[in-house]
Formats: sequence, C-alpha cells, structure tokens
Amino acid sequence: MGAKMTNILRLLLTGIICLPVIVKAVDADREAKRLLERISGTKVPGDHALLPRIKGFINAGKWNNAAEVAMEHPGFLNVTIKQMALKMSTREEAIQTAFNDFAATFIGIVRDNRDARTLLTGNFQYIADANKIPAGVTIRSEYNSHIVKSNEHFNDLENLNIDLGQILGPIEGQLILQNTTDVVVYNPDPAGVLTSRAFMGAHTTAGTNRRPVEFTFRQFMCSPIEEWSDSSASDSRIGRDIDRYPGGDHTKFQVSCKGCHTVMDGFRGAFAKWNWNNNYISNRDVQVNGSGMVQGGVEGKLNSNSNVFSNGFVTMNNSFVNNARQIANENKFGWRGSNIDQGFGVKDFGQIISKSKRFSECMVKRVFESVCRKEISFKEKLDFLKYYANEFEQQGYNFKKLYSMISVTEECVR
Amino acid sequence: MKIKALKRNFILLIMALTLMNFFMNCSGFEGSSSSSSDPASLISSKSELQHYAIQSSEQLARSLSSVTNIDFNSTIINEYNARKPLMSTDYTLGSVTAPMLISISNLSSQFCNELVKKEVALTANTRSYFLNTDFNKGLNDLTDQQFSLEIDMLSLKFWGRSVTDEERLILNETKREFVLAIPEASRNSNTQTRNLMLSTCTVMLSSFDFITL
Repeated sequence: MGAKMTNILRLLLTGIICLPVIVKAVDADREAKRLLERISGTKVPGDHALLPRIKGFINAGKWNNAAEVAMEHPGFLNVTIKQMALKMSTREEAIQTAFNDFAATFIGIVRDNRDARTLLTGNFQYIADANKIPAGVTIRSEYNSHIVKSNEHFNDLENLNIDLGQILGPIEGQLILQNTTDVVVYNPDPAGVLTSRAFMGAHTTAGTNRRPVEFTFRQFMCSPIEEWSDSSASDSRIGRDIDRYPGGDHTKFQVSCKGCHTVMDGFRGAFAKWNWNNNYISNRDVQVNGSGMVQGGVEGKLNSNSNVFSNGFVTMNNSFVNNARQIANENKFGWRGSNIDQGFGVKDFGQIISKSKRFSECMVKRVFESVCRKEISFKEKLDFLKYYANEFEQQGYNFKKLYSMISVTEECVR
Repeated sequence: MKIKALKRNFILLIMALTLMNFFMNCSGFEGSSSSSSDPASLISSKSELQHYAIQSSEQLARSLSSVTNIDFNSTIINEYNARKPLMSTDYTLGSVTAPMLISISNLSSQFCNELVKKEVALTANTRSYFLNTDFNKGLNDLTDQQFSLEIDMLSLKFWGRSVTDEERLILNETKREFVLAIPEASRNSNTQTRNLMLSTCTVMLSSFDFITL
C-alpha cells in the first residue's frame, strides 16, 4: 500500500494524473460537453440529455463517474470502440475497413464488461441478434453464406441506422467451415479475435503464416517487429525457407535476417494448422478431405521452399516456443504466469500474450489513442502507460473502467 | 495564438468556398465560420497546445445527425457513401485537403436541407432551430436582429455555446454578401430566405469547431 501511494505521489508530481484536480476549476458545462464528445466520438447538441448528469458528477469532482455516464451514448460503441477495433483488424490498419467479426466481438467484449484478455482467449463471437434487428432492415444472417464464407452479415450491419451496441449478441463457441460442402463445426483452437475471420483471413492468406505472429505483436503488444528482433535468441525454429547465406554471405543472415526470425518463427507453429482458402478460414484438425477423413497435420506452406536451407526447422505440428525471453524482450513484454515458454496452437499463444504486462500497457495505448485521438508512445510516456496498465489490471481488465480513467487525464484533454 | 490564427484562416477559407459553391449553383453548400473560443482557457497555459482531431466520415455523419436531429434517409446515405472516400482516415489536421472540405460541406448541406424543410413545415412556435424566421417572406423582410437570433440558436444547437463577436461578424458579412449576390427582383422570394438559412446552417456545420473533436 505504501509503495502504491509513493508511486501515485510520484506520478502526481510529474503531472501524469493531475487532471481532475486542475480541471475542477473550469467551466463544467463546457467540460461536460467535451467529455461526452470525446467518449462518443461525435459532436452533441448543447442540450443533450446526458449532459446534466455528466455535469453533476464533474461539479462533484467525480470525473470517472462522469465518463461512465458519457459511455451510455451510443457513439461510444458505434464510433469510438468500432473504429479502434477496425484499425486493429486487418493489415491496412485503417478505420475505414469494412465492419467485420473482429470488430463485432471487440464491441461485445467492451459492452458486456468481459475481461479484455478474452480478446485473445475467448471461445465466443458476436453477431446480430435476430430478435433485435429493427423493422425494415435486412441483415443477411445465414451462418455459412453470410458469416463464415463472406462478410455479408457484417456488411449489412454497417448501416448508419443500426445501433451496434443494441443489436449485437454473443454466441458461445466459434464456428468455422469444415469443408466446401458448407458444414460448419466448432473451432478446435479458439482464441478470441485472433481466430476471427477478419484477422485470420488478413494474415494467413498466402504467405507462410508468419504474419499473424507479427500482427498479434503489432496490435496487442503495440510492438512492431523491429522492436523485438533478437539475434541472440535461438535460431533452431527458423524454417527451411529462410536463406542462411543470402547473397552468399552468412553474416548478412546473422545481422539482418536472424533477429526477426528467431522470435517470429518460434511462435509461428501456433498458426501451423490455419489457412485462408476460397474466402473462408480453415483449420487442419477439422478440415476433411475427399474421403471424409480429417486432414490433420500442418499447412504445406509452413514447410514450403524447403530446399533454400534444408537443415532448417521442419514444422510437424502446432507447437511453438517463446524465443522472446532474452533480457531485452523479457523486460519489454513482462511475461507472466505458467507455461510461458511453449505451447500448442493459437489459444495457448493468445494466453501467453494476454497475460503479459505489455498486453495491458498496449491496451492503455489503444484506449488512449481511440478516445484522445492522438498518439502516445512508449518511449515518451512509459510511466503513464505502466501506471494505467496496472490500474486496468486492478479493475479486472475492464475496458469501460479504463476509458473512464484515461478520458479524463490531462494527457488526453490538453 | 497559433491555433486562433489557424481557426480564423479556416473560417475565411470555408466562407469563400461556401459562397463560391453556392453561387455556382452546386448541389451542396460549403462553408463555415468557426469559433474563436479560447483553447488556452481550458486547463492552464499548457492548453495552448490543445489537441484537435478531424472527424472521420462516420463520426461526422453521426455528429450531423445528432445536432440537427435529422435521421439518415436515402438521400443523406447516398451523399455519405459518395463522400466517404475523401474524408479523414487518421484524425490528423495534416490530412485535411480541399476535396475533404468540400465533401464535408456537401454532407452538411444535406442535413441542413432536411432541417430547413422540416422547420419550414412547422409553425414558428413549434420549431426548434429557426424560431424567428418567417419562411413565407423574402430576404427584404428578414431583419438583422432576426438573423442574429437565428445565429444564436444555431450556435447553441451546433456548437453548444454562445456565438462569439468575431463569428457573428463573419456570419453577418456572409449574409450581406449572400443578399448582394441575389438579383434585387428575386430578393422577395421566400425561396431565398430558405436558401440563406440553408447556407448559414451549412457554414456553421462545416466550421472548424464542428468538424474537429
């Protein structure tokens, strides 16, 4: 307790969490409107129904409560959360990405106060609740055609007259296609939005399934590949398709290639059974061949170009190892819990990522950038990110609680 | 002070675009005015660096719907879909382009058009926005005082605050130029009164204060 108070005092002195104290002196009407607009992501009329309650809490110095009231505005889920999620869902990292299953599940997790770690570990998804579709609105909802094999269900939800916060509902389990005859089965390796059609489709299409590792770190650890490159880690997992003598020069491999591949190829096995084919995602453990037998094994692309360096690692199953355990990456990511060195499949991978300190810090960064609409960097604001990551965890990884804290910080407002 | 200068220049640019667009008989309007509300008063002197973010297409559409209390109809949705690709995708002021500003004012004008239509159909005492305008009369019958009261109301509805002296000056000047550009014989047409309100509404909803968060 004493250490925590010391920490708070230090942050106060450095101006990190002093906003509520300072802002108290300013115009509550104006601040109420600004807070509501910041959280809802939209402009509101001066006589909006939520403003009196927000103002009341501001006058009482209860800024977090004021922010919680602001979250009742439909724009919070329909704009602020949606745009944050869309930006994380695909390779383009654009808010104008078409609405998709990744964003729908993200919205559901926030709305229903689910633990944020279920973003990477959950075995559920969100789609439109048929009972809540407004009259006169058509939402194509056939599971095979419109959800698993296309984005049409979610395209239909991208309708300005639909309130996503009202219409989305959870379904337990994640369904994927078994084969081309349209049979759907439960995903044997569910991992929240990592195994969503949008994310998996964006990153397992073509390629060698390294990209889903790269983008998991990029989106959920806020760490681009060059930041976790580590040439000192083991290269025993680097695949056969990576040339150890590029241009005849082994030094070039050691200096330029190895660093990224040690960590990325170490984790790559987690995605060994996943692929994107004919507009749907597939997993070898449920895919059946022409004889009706489960295919098993791993996708061929994991071992493609095997003659480039034939002594490289051969992927036989979906096991992976965590090669980001050297001191620099250990400090950066803050791995925690048991079974952090290895695992099988995307679910284990998601567990390891979600339990790390860096995941919480990254979620603080994501929330800050979505509600304050400006960037914040680990380099310049590490103390701020660490402080609120800790608070986020103390609040049970609840996104709404995090928004209520971040949206009223001085860093956000000024 | 830099922000203030930026906002003032923004007002003038949008005003010029509005008038040009309007008198070129474009389908939509363009324009602006903007506040000179002092960002530095927010917290402390550090607030001179207050951050502004341009709204994305969906944010802007929902904002327009929210402050005008106009639902999304097919005309508005068509305009939105046509303009969406030109809108901001990263919230940064640096992403602002002339086509983006024109798109914003065109989308705003659709909401304003619906708003004016809706208000015209109501009696003055049941309206929420244009309480002081007689839409059956021409521009010659619209007094400066009536126009000023309309600006006050729109400012409260759209910006959530009182209009500043500088903004009032700019909007009055916009009105004066608007009237001068109308042939004298046409000024008594009530259509021009509607057009003035449509233009004023569009100007205010395309302003820096409105399109940023």
